[in-house]
Amino acid sequence: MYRTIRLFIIICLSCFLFTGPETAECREPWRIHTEEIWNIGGEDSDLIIQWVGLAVDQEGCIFLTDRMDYSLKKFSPDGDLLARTGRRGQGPDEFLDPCQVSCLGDRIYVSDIQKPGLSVYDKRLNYLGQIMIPHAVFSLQVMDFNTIWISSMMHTDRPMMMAFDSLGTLKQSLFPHFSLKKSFIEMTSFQWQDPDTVHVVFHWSGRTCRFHRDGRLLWENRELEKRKPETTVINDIQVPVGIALKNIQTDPYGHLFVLGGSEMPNPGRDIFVMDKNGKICGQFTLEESSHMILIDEKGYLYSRGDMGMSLIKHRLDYPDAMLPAERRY
Amino acid sequence: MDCWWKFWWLLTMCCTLLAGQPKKTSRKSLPPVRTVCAVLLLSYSDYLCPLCLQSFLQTADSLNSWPGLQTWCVLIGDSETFMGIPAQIVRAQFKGWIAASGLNFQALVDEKGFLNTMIRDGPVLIVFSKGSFIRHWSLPLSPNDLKTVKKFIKQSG
Repeated sequence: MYRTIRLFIIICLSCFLFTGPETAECREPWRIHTEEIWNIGGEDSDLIIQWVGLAVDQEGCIFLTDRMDYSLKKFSPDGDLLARTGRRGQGPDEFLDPCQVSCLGDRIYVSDIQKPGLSVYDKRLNYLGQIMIPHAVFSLQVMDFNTIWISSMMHTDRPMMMAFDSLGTLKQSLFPHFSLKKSFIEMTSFQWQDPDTVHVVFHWSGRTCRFHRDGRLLWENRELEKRKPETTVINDIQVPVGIALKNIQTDPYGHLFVLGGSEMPNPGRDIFVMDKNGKICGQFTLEESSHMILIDEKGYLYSRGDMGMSLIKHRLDYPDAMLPAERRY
Repeated sequence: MDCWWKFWWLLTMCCTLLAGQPKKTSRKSLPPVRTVCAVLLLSYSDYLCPLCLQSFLQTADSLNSWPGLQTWCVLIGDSETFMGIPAQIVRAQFKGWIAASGLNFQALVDEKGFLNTMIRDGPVLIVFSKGSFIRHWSLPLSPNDLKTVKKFIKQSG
């Protein structure tokens, strides 16, 4: 008898602990609105030609790579140009196709799609040197000075993410939990939530996942997955035609924002909002198509306008259900 | 070859637009006439392909350093190949990219795709001398082709 009562109490406590606010807060769809704070650049300006990579530091300064200008640019939190560096070429402080950017402390790390490795700058955009990484970098996040996570093109037996130290030595590889078809490629974008957990989106298959640092799959959302991706063959490799998901970002409250790709009803504009367990709880649509989104530490959302000629900063207007109790009105 | 008249029309129109309104000036004050000019034709799909652009830029760089040679770079598209991107955005980005690449070229965009038939096999270099079309080459140029082009420009000028 006592055993049954104890079991009942344990089950009740477990339910109380593990079905807390996260599921409760997502009972109704979250309605998120965005408000444009500023929009810099544009077709009548030569400030930005086509930006690709974006990072925001703790002070709110913005670092972006301008692919067609072969440059790295720094803007103030209000959108004023503070510094610019780079030119076309393969030498120091030169780019062929600057792509991803990540900042950590006083260092800015920049990748180039056509050159392996990362260029390193200080916050005034003085060139400091190169970290030799033997892969083209498609997604980048520097966790600490000795842990640089990248993703590159994935094939059947290639990892989805790799970590390198500051000397360019491979420290760790993370492999996906599913097998890619032979002669099929995939690309990923990721964001580390904390030193132990990372969120990953698979661009072409459309899976969204959370992994532990040791490679364990913690959860997976396949609601946005393309069951039968349309493909074309280039050099004997099957290349998907449309992109299901573009990238993933976490806001200061731990919600996930996933930008939909060309396969979604509004290509490059639909943003799906998930709770910490990977359940889609809301959706909103940007006014202009963007190749990526970024949410900074203060919760501002950045996206692209005018096909990369402008950068837009938005304020996110959350419904009460998404906010922690102390921030609700 | 029915597209050549379109090309001539486009080039003439561009020259007219860039030259602005004719002024009443004496013959002595007219700018010197360039005897040789080169035109590089690039499709929008090649423009979006980073590796194709690198190959294109190699040729462009060698023409860029050629003293006295006036070079035009034409980006060719149509409503489909711009993939829904407004023409004014493509124009602004192309002009900015030519400048950022350090090329001292006139940047033009053929948004209606008049010249599409001329670039079926990839980017093309055309050399004009004294107002007449003389020769054309497909890009990328081999080192031998490049020597021939340079020799040709030197002789024509």
